[in-house]
Amino acid sequence: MRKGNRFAPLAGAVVSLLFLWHLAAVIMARPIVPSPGEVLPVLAAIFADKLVIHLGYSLWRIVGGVLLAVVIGYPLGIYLGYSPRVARLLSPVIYLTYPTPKIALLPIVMLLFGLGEMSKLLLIFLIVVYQVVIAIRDAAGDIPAEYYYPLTTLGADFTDIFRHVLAPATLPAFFTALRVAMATAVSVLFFTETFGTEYGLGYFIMDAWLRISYREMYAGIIVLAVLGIALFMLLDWLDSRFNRWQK
Amino acid sequence: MITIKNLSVAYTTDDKARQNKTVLADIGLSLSAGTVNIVIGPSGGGKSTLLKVIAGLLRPTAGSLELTAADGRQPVIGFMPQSCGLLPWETIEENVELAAKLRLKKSGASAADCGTMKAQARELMKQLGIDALAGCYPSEVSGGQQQRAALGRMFLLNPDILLMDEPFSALDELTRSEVRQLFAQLIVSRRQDEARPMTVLLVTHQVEEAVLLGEKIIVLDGRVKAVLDNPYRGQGQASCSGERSEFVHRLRRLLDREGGSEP
Repeated sequence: MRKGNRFAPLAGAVVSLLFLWHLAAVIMARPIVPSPGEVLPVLAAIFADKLVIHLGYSLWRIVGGVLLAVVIGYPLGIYLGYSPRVARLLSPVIYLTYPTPKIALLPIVMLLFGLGEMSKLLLIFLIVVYQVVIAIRDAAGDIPAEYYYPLTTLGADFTDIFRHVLAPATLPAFFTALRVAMATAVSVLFFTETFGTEYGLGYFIMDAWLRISYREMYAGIIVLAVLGIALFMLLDWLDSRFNRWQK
Repeated sequence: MITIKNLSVAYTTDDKARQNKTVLADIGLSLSAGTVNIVIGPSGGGKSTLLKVIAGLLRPTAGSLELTAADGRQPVIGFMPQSCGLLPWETIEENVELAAKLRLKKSGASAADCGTMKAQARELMKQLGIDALAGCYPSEVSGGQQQRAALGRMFLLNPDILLMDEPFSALDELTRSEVRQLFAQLIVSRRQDEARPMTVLLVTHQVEEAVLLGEKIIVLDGRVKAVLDNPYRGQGQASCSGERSEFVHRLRRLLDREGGSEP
């Protein structure tokens, strides 16, 4: 698909959504539902000096939390999927802790790590890491034995097995897990930014709401949505680059 | 060469009954270096299991297995599973080079050696008619082309022991015949290197294929039912020799589960 073709459907979708929003604003005719025509100029006006700082904080928290989750979760998932012995020991622990909504751990996280950056990063980390570990573990465990044969018969070491089998085989599942986890992470981010901080899109949106500055609130929501979409598109691009063999 | 003594492979079933199932019982074989040996037998007879034990992928429950290269060192084993064993995320060229690359890495090869290997890979792929597919992924090529790539990988590796599990079974008749001819040609060219003979053990359940390719034919059904020397190697079905037909007939009788075995 040519570049032009790829963006045309997206542009069409954006225009349609803006149109629907405008329609809703016109029908409801209330100050709590301003039209895009009222919000977008406000967004443009406050972006450079206000919103960009909040965006920066939110971005750093999401990226930091996800990176931490990947750095710890990916090797753990590989190890669990590849070694049945380790899996037998750790799987029950994961089985019991996975269903617990991590957001319920917020009070504990806050008590231990305070109200600052650490607790926000940690909460995002906790949510994303489980998704990554389980997706990688299952993908590694599903690799047909025959893919290992050419390597084990020649006495290949773990580095080769990882490079030629484990890594490429688990990459598609890894990106799928990240995509799903990212969506949850953005919503958790919003929640964690409503307290203990004066920076971040979550804080900005809540603050604008409390100041009854609805146009600024909507501007913040749009930027948060665009952040989520941009991260999603980045993952899509990385996926298509690394998993060309799947086409 | 391959020496097998009293080899047995058994396992316990996972279900409640936990029965003891024997796949191979008391196998004894002695295969000389540089020979092409065929293992033939009914399904479930333990042919794939035997290959896997020799390849070191399965541990036997009893017995011994001795593998030696011509110069007495640890032999290099090439194993081609039934499904070709191509990695879906590597191109045809990368797949063909995989085994040889790993072997070079293990023996601490130089960049020059790698260059030579790559050139040999290209030449082999040209011989096999897949050089145009070098940059394609296995899913993008046909079953016959995948099989050629898998063969190319094995011959590029140039192992001391080559184990092949039904290497032509997924092909249609025409492609099968073509690929078998290539296989035979490659065996002939390897034979010319007397310093490093290659012992081949090929599993098939096609009698005609066994007679066409093998110097020795081993009939296996949980145990060794017979080991036959095959004087009709290289002679196709078209060759109307009565003795050949009789030999094929004898083999078919041995394959019949109710039939007896030959010492």
